[in-house]
This record gives sequence, structure tokens and C-alpha cells, in this order.
Amino acid sequence: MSSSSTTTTTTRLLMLKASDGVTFEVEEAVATKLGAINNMVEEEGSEDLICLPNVNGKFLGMVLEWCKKHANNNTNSDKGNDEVNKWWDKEFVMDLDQNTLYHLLMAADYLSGTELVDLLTEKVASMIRGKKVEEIRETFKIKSDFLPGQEEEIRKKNSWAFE
Amino acid sequence: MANLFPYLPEELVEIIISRLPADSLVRFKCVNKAWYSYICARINDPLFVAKNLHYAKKKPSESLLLTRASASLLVTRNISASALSHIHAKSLLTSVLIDDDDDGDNNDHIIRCVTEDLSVPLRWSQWLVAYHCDGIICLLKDVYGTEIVLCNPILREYKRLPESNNNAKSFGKFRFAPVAMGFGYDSVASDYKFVRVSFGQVKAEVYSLSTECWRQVKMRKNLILDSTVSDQFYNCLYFQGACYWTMLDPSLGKMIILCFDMCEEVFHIVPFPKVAYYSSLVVWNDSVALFLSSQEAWNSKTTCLEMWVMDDYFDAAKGTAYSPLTKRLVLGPLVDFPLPLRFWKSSDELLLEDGRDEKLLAYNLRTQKLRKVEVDGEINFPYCSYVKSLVSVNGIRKISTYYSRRSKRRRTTQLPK
Repeated sequence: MSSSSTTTTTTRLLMLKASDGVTFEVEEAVATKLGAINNMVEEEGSEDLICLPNVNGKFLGMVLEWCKKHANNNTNSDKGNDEVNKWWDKEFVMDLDQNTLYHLLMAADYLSGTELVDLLTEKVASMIRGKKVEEIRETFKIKSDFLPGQEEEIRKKNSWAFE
Repeated sequence: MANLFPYLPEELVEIIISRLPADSLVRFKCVNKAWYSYICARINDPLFVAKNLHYAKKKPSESLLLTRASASLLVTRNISASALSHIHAKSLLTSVLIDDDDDGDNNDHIIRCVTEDLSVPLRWSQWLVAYHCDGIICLLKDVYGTEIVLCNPILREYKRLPESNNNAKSFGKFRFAPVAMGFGYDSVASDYKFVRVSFGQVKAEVYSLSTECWRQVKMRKNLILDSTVSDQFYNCLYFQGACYWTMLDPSLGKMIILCFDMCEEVFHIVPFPKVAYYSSLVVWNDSVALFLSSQEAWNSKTTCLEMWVMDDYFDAAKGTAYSPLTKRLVLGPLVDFPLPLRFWKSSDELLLEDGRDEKLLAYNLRTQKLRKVEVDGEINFPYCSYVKSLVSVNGIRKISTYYSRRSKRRRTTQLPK
């Protein structure tokens, strides 16, 4: 996008190719927010086309969307940046279904997007924390395989001996 | 080991699980066999326990530990040995989560909280003083520290500390309460320690959870301290590897901050910058700060509170070295003499105790707005922060220093002036 024309240095563009052949043209500064791509750029230098056989286009696109937002927000050196990022992160993970969340998380992990992994693992954790045992079973479609009496025993162990 | 989320690699599962609150984890042992064995293994893994604690501390919301009695019971505020015995047996140790998203910008005058009564192995009538560090609550039966119980209510673990020889001997016919007691973490040795400074001939002793025994600690020979004059009698502020108390040093004729370094096991003294009628220690922006109000303030209806900050820590080589406190803030004038308790939420919001009715107030430094914090029932000390953890009080599961900070305290080599 040409709107950020105030920067005098010409930003280099990288081509990222996903497992399903979809390609993305991204500014280097954006793509190198991902540790894996940063490493490749540093090691291979001149290479402009980077193949990512472990990520498909849909999720690579989402990861890059997140990188772009954070890169853009960070260029304006406002104090409110953290707030903006936080708000935007919240929106980003709000409506993800379980399946998308897992795939996105694996993509972020593969690309070493540490901050994004933090965000997504926190999102999964927030789906679990504070829940009742029955709710966990329901959310993750788990069946209890305890023998009769076993669960009761574990519950008992979780309370004080003298209670 | 079975994977809890078949789609996700093991490392990611561990990150997710370590971000769960300790009480959720303990509860989730009941989900199925795979969860049971997974969680049991993690609770016994010191690195996981440290990670879990790290995330719990990083959370933006903060819990406050206090005692709560049902409204019908009278709780006396005056923390003297005799008054304490009046406190009714039905009080509970409660964790209060102050849940407030609006940043104090809207017009609400009340902050609501979520209270959760913690289950501790002693009834209220059986303990008088409480300290906290990393999910371990330290309960003392009396002001002499004769019976000390460490417990982690989440793990349902407790441990009674053995009596120290020194403590038993020094009692004799007349008992003197210790001048200072506290509980904290030594990040160098990965150890939790209880410290007690006795009255009169100043001696200090430390109990270490990893060695399970008491040990004498050297203090300056001529040091005589008196904490009974302090408003924070038996209050101890633990912060990043050190315990802090306010008390009188009769030889200086001055109020001082006494500091005990949990790692080096040495004491430091910082004199108050001025005479104060009331004082209290808090943590502000990752530094220890002292709130003072002057004598004159007491006579008028309003008061101003000054906040003095300890910017630098001490030169460990010189026992008496200190850097003077610097004045950072003046709050007020505030009506009816509210007492500062602690900061919460990134140092913008100061919790205060209302001088009239002992209710909780929150003062926002940015918006200068004073709001009520609504907690059911009569509340009382210790007002320290509380975090749910999987840190065990039994056995020595060494926690790796990898995650346990940052808390390597800043040290300056600055010489005393």
C-alpha cells in the first residue's frame, strides 16, 4: 500500500508461497515479525521468494494480516499503541472457531510468531479456564473413562483431609 | 503420555495448560484419565509450576487477600494483641478479584468485586497474622510466632514449621513479641523463607523451606528496634526478594524502613525522610514506596498523603548504606483520613481504607476520582496481593531460576553520602 509514503527508505517486498500455491506479497518489515522468515531472510539474503510448505494460504493470510496490523500500529510512536494493539488483538481472536484457532496457532508456531502464539494460546486458555469439569468434556467432546468411584476419589483428594 | 489436544503439538499444549489458573488445573484432573495423568505430571514438574506462576503473575487483574466476616459480626480494627482476640471465629480468608474494565473513566462510583473464600487449614480463631508469597499463605497462631503454618489452599497442602530452639529459649517468663516477621522467596537459592527478628537483644532467624530448619542470621550489634509504634505492626511488605517493615529505631530516634534481603540474608535500614503521623509501605511502578501523612493533617478534616519512593536498592557490602527516598507524589487533600493500602492495576489505582467506616476505596491517580470498592461483609487485613499457584509447601521441588525473574534485584554500588 502506497499510503505509508513518508518513509524514505524503499521497503523491500518478499513473496511468500503457501503449501497450496497461494502467494502473498509482503513488505519485509512486516514479514520479519515472524521469526522463521526473519531467519530465512538473514541466512539466504537475496532470496525474494520464500516457500512455506507447512502452512496453507488461508492461515498464512491470517497470520500476515496480524503482522501487518502490528507493524503499522508500531510505526506511529504514540503511547496509545499498546492499547490499539490490545483492542485489535481482541477483535482478531474474538470469533475464531476451535478448528481455525488450532490451525492458526500451528501456523503461528511454525512461523515463530512468538507474540501471536502468546495471543492464541491465551485465547485457547480463556476457553478453558474457570470451567466446570462437565463443561470441559462438552467443549472438547471428551468422555470420562474413569471406573465407577475413581472420579469421586480424585475429588476427595482435592479437598482438605479434615474437611 | 496422552495428548489433551490431538491436533496440537505437545509444546503448544503445555503453553496453553500452563496459562490456566492453578485451581482450574487441579479441578480438571477429573475430566478423564488422560487429563488426570497429564496434570499430575505437570504439577510435579518444577519448571511447569514456575511457568504457571509466571503467567498467573502477569495477569492484568489482581487479587487481594483479606479477611471477611459476615456483616453481623463485629471485627475490631485495632491490631493490638488484646484486641485481636475479639475477632470473631466466623471470619474467612478471602481472595477478592477487583474486576474493573472501565479504567475509571465512566461515572460509576462503585467498583464491584468477585470474592472467593479460601479454604485454609486453620479456623480464624486459630491464627492472627497472615503473609503471602507465590500462592503460599503463611498463618501465625499468635504475635509471638510460636506456631507457624504454611499452606497452599489450591493444592490442599499445609505444613507446620518446627519450633526454633532460639525462640523457645528466649521466652522464659515474659514473652516479647518479635519486632518483625515476614515470608518471601529467595530467587538465588529457589527457596521460600520465613524471617523473624526478635525483640530486645536483636537477633534474627530464618526458616528455609528447602532445608526445613531454622538458622540464625547476623544483625548489627547495636541495633535496637521497636515496631510497636508502627501503624503497620506485623505488616510486612514482600517485594522482589526482600521483606520491608516500618518501625522505630530508638538509637536514631527516628522511624525507619527495615529491609531484609531474602537472598543475601542481610538487613538494611532506610530512615524516614521526615516525621510522619501515619506511614505505610506499598509497591509502585516496580519500586517500594512509602506513604506518609503529617501530624498536622490529623487535626484537620482533610489530609494530604506524600509518597516517597526507594529508587535504588542497597549496597550489599555496606550494611548501612542506603539511598535516600525521593518524593514523587502528593495526593489530596482527601477527606476523612483514608489509609493507603496498596496499588493495583499498573500503579494508577490506589486502594485505601476509609478512615471512618473501614471500607475499601480506590483512588485513581490519573482521573483523581475516588470510588468505593464493594465487598460484602466486614473486611480486614492483611490486604496483600494473592496469586493462585501450584507451588508446594511439602518437599523441595526446586523451581528453575529460568522463569523466576527479572527479580534479580537491581543493585547499585553507590556509596552512602
